[in-house]
Amino acid sequence: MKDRWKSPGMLLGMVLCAILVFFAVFAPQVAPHDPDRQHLAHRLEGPSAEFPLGADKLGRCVASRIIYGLRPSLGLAVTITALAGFIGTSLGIFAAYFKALDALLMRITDCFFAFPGIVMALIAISILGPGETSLMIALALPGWPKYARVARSKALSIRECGYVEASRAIGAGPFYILRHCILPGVLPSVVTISTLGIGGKIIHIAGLGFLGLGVQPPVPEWGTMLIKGLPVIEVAPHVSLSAMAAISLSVLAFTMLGEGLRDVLDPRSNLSDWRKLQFAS
Amino acid sequence: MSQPAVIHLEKMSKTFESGFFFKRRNVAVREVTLSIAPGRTLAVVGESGCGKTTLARMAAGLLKPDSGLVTFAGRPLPTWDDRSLRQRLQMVFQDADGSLNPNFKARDLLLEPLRLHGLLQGDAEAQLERLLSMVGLVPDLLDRYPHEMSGGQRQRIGIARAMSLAPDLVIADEPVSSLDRSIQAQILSLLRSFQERDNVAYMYISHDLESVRAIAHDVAVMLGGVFVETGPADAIFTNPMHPYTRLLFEDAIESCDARAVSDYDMEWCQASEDGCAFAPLCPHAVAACSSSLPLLIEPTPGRYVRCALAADTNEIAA
Repeated sequence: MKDRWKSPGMLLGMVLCAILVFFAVFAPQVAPHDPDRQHLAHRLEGPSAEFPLGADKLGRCVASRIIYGLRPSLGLAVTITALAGFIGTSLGIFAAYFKALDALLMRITDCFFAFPGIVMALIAISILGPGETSLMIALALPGWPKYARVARSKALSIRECGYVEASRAIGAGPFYILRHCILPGVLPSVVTISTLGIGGKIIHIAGLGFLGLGVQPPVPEWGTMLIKGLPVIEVAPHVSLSAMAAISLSVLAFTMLGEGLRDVLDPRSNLSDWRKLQFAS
Repeated sequence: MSQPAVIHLEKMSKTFESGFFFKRRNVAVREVTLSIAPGRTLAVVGESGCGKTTLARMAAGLLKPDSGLVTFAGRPLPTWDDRSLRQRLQMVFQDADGSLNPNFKARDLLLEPLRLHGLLQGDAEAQLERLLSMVGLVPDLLDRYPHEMSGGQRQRIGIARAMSLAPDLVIADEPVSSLDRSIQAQILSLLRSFQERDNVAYMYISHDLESVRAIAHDVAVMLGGVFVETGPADAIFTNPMHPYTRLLFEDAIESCDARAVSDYDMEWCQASEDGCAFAPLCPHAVAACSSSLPLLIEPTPGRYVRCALAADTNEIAA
């Protein structure tokens, strides 16, 4: 168990995630400039000592905007994942434990699965209008079925364990059993897929920002920065490249952490075998 | 039986069906009737797959029977509310490893039944001490998880959990079969001491004849989902009447294990749809044995045998 923690990918993922969280929390302290302050004399200027990642079309410090952009990206991604994970896990273990609800809940889950996630998000945003709350709803809506599936399949196998029946035999009610017998066994997998899920949500948030449907300006956001940088990419590639790098780096960080977590918490998961096969071929 | 039975099972049946397109029926328990008086131990003996565990789970109300009725302490089981029933009817499981929640330490496992029933008054530490000494465990164990204990320690925890609520009946499903001989003896004497102290009744499910001899007052031999022979333990051990019981005991002299009788158990269960499950192997079988289930007859008072030839074969054996 101990040496599993020494996997380099997970360590790197942990360090990167810690750095990202640190920057998001202490953005005002670490950012070189106010992200909204326009230094018009330095418009589209390349990286320099004063502006580490240059300045954008309005002369705002790109580095500061990237750092402040961590806040909506990380904050929303974590909130959405927590929301989706909570809803999905609860429904999943309910479906597994109460056989009568199983068919109904799982068919609802299937309906959500059948819908492409980004299409559902676009529909939700066009109904609710752009904004942070609607972004949360739009991304949590297609997000939860995955957790329901995983939680249900785990719970189904735990439910057949001797100690669940033994708990019933000493008089435990269904909610006690769900809380103390089933949930602890389901959580490792849920934590793993939600860590991986945070990475996916960061992409979705940036994607919706890119389309102008996500976090609204002037709040600094990576997807918005990317599209704003595209027209000037020939004269000032640093604007969109920085945003791209920020998105890639944060997705990479959470994916590495998630994969490492999976190897630790779910050592028998066949996903890692699958990955080994891919490397072999 | 002078006292009213603590539990009475009347014509319990359970059939499992599996498969979606091709239904396969597996008759687990067929019309089993039994009674246990307070302070007595009924041992249900039989090899794997004969329906013992299904019977135990139905008796405990953990599995709904297809037909039949369980009466516990004078009231039908379905009319009991779960909370008060679980306080008076407890189970001890075979696999103490799998029947203890792996997320709990021994401390929480021991207090769990009391907490669930709101009986944890006053000092939890004092309660823990009482429970530990009750089953002969040392306090070092309290902060260990189930997988950090030995099989005997886990089973003691399981017994302490069952006994902490002072139940009227404990259904013990192979409580010692995964333990060493020496530990088995300790666990059995522990169970006996509880019976002497609290007058608790046991339904003791086992394939291990040696342990049955040590603890049972009455014995029911089960085969293919039916009781083939019931009666007082002494009488059955000294004079088994059903041909299957006799085979069981003869083989058991060498192996002390009902499972050693044959490898036919699965086929027996499937073949038991109509006739006597033992007919394919019985040296005295006649054509009628495999076509219809023999009736339960009472050759001597208090003993029941489900074999038309029991009286005759008994003479042959004698």
